[in-house]
Amino acid sequence: MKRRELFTGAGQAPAGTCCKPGVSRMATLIPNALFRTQDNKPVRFYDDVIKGRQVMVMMMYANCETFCPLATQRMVELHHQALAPRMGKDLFMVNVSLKPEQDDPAVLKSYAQMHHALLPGWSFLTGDRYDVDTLRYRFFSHDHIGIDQDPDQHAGLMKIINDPIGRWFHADAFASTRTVLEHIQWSDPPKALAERLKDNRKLQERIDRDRVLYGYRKIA
Amino acid sequence: MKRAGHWLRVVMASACLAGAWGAPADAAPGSCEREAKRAPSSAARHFLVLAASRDVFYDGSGPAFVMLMKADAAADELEMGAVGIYADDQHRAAFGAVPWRAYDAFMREPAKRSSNALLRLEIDGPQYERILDILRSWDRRAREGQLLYRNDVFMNNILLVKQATEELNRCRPSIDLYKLDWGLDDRISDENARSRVPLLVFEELKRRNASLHVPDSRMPNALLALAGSEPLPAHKPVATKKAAVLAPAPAHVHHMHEAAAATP
Repeated sequence: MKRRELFTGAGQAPAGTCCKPGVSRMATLIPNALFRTQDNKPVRFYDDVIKGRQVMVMMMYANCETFCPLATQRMVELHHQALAPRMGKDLFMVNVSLKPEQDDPAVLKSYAQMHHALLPGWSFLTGDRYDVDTLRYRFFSHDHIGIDQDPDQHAGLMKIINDPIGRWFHADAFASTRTVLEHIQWSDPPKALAERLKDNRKLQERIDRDRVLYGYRKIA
Repeated sequence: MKRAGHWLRVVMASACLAGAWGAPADAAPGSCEREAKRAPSSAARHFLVLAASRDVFYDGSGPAFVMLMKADAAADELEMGAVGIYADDQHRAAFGAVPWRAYDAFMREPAKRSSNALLRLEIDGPQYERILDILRSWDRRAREGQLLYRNDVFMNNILLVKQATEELNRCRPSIDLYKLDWGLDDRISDENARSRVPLLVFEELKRRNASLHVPDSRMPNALLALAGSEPLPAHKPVATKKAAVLAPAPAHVHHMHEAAAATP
């Protein structure tokens, strides 16, 4: 009887360094897997969706009855209330399907249509289960074996990624409009010094005015 | 007689239609419905081995992995491999496909007072295929640097153990499972370091399923005789259309806390 190894990677050489020179940290953290948009257009997750952009990433699935429709609805509201001028220009939104076996591009498109979410700068992606799980754990892991196994636990959460400045922030889509906008602002590119000084001057004027009117700084 | 034949044909056609109507539409590959219809193959025997040892790493834990064996008498071939935590050349914990020299020690049962734990279960073909899919996916994750938990190889190993053992009971109850979910009843995870959890879970599973353990005496002799012999290289996985599009990823073996500094 002959004996044969089952796995190709058995006993491979030890790991190299995690970060290659010339490659951004984001590029090493975010998988560059192949996905499909709601229009059945193939895209690479890092190269085509994240690279050089500020992107809000959320996960959902089309026949979800709890968090996903509410979160999508919330983001549609937010889009109309505050984000519309920026969306598709310097801010993007991407929803990745948690159940790629069920959600093909056509299903995602009908989900987006149903929720009036076919808006500028907003795309819905589906891909391979392996890549979806990688993204799911990379962005939304709770570091808990039991909770992380359940994809529903990762619906309604949002990662705001700003690739050029190498930062990402976590936000809850169900938080108040102000909180979500604040999180988006935190991930905005840093302002120029003159602009920051101007903002500080405005803030100081408001504080001074509050002190005159109320005797203390009023918390907005 | 002619009339009776006509009615018989009508009844049979109705039965066929009803059968087709009642057949599960989602009998996808790997589904329980499809497995139930599959004819059992007697030529091959399949084994799942849950193996772990203690007192190898600095914290008293040791290698812990899930191993699969398929002895195909017709092909005169034994396929085997393991994925999980093993000790690398510098005796550090590494996660990935286990080198054959490391899992070879678990071809035979350990001595009674040994620090090793071993549970060997005979499984059926579909169970083997499903667990093989899980192990292949983890092997690929380790090679491509896409482990689900970036900062802790032990977490990945616990998840692998959870997935592989739960797969045994997916289509029908096969073993008395330990609920490894970090919930209120999961006292092993609650009271022990992550690195020791797989070993303790294997011991608990062996205690609960002692009658299912296959001792050396019930293993094919030809299989046990292969211990120590260098295996032939693995068959190359069939390249999918998608895999062909993707750029090759660098070979990678993950060590404890390796990527901790890389998290933003």
